[in-house]
Amino acid sequence: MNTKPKILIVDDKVENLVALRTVLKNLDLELVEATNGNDALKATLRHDFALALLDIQMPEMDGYELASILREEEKTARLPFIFISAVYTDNLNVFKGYESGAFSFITKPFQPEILINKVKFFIEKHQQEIALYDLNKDLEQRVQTRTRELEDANRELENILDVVKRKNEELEQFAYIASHDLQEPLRTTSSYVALLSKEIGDTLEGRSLLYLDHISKSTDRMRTLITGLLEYSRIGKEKHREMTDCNQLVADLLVDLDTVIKENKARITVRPLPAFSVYPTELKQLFQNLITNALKFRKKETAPEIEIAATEENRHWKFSVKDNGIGIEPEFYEKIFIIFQRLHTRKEFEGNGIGLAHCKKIAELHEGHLWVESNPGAGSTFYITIRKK
Amino acid sequence: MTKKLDCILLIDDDEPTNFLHRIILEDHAVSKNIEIAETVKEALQLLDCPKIEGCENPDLVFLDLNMPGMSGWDFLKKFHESKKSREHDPLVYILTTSANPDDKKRASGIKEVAGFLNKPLTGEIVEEIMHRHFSV
Repeated sequence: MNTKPKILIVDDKVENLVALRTVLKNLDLELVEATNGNDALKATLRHDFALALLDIQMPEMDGYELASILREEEKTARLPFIFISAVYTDNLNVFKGYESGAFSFITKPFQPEILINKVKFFIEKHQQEIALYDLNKDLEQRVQTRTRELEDANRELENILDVVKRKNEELEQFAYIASHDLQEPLRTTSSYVALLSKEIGDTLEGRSLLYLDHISKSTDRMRTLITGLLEYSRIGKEKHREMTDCNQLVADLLVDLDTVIKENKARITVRPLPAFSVYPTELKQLFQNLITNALKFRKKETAPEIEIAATEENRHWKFSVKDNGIGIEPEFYEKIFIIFQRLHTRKEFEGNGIGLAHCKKIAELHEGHLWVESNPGAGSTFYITIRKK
Repeated sequence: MTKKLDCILLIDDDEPTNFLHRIILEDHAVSKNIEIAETVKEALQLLDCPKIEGCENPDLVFLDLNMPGMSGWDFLKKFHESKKSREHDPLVYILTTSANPDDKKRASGIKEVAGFLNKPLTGEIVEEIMHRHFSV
């Protein structure tokens, strides 16, 4: 606000007004003068005052009356006054009625410095109030704008989320139907290959035997892929989280995997794990896939060492499965989690490229992530975050 | 008339597929040698140092796209990078199960790719390729 603060001066005697103006002339103010209460009230309608100097003794409406009217009007309710009183004739007790607002008084005849100081004090206070008010207003406006922006963004996000959800459902449905319907002709093919093998297998030789072998292997592989796809599309369907002790979950899993762990002479260390609400079947599946992977992708000459641990984060539990296997080149960190993608031929390592895609979907079902960090030739660590519930 | 090629290189991770393609190529007697790579890594090694005599400079390559580890696209990138060190380049045909139009479009932007084919390879396709590129 660069405009000068305005002061209302009310006195029925013009010479008093002139005197006041003279005293205040060096202050950077705009003075609005009135010689009676009515003119003063009219002036308050046109101007925003920072302060009013009121003479007490005036005909018709005295300074007290004017002050109480001003206090009642919304626009001037907080307008500070300085009453100019003739101390011998005015009843100073009347001031008690104005305790709600800022006011002061000065007795005639007054020292110009005292009046100037009082005026300065109120003007300064007024300017601070205005600055604070502007600041508040600005802040309020910014909060409102920001809130509106956030609301808009939220609405948009919700729309997008809806679309994504719908698309996801469509996709899952598609995968389910496709894989289900694909099973049918496949089963027929398998059955006829089996019949053919049984009926004329003995009479075949050379290339023909290989043909039959390839058909049978390919249909077997296709069945695994389709079953995998079917299971993938069903992960987390119609299931709920349950309070689960992950220590027990992993312990049970290690019993299930006992044979393959012993075959590999693997050492598995399990650090203390949390107990909280998870999808137990899915989480067990995830750990099973990661542990069997760690055993499968071991170095030939080194016994596998696997460490399972968990650390608590703000909103998630972060699990890790660390191995000392062959490791993964950084360029394949993403590819391994894509369904049907593999890094090795089936001759090198068996598999169908479904396991880690499954794991990723299970982590996402738990509102978390799955990723790998690896040192090729030295081992990999898979990290899984699971949102606390 | 078409000339008989010295060597065809098949790059595909699926053994039954390679088996089938080899039979088709052998039945049409278009090449003296057929070499098979089951990974891109193996294919790149074979181009540098063939296992079969007569396959020093394959005339024709059939390349699968979706393979474990490095993909057919990775092969084309490495193949392009190592171009200067070779005397003459084999003709590369992409041979894939992919029916994805994006793949076809992407392939058309790579100058080392002579064509984009869908599996399986058939006698007619082999004849057509021979006719187009190796007529005498």
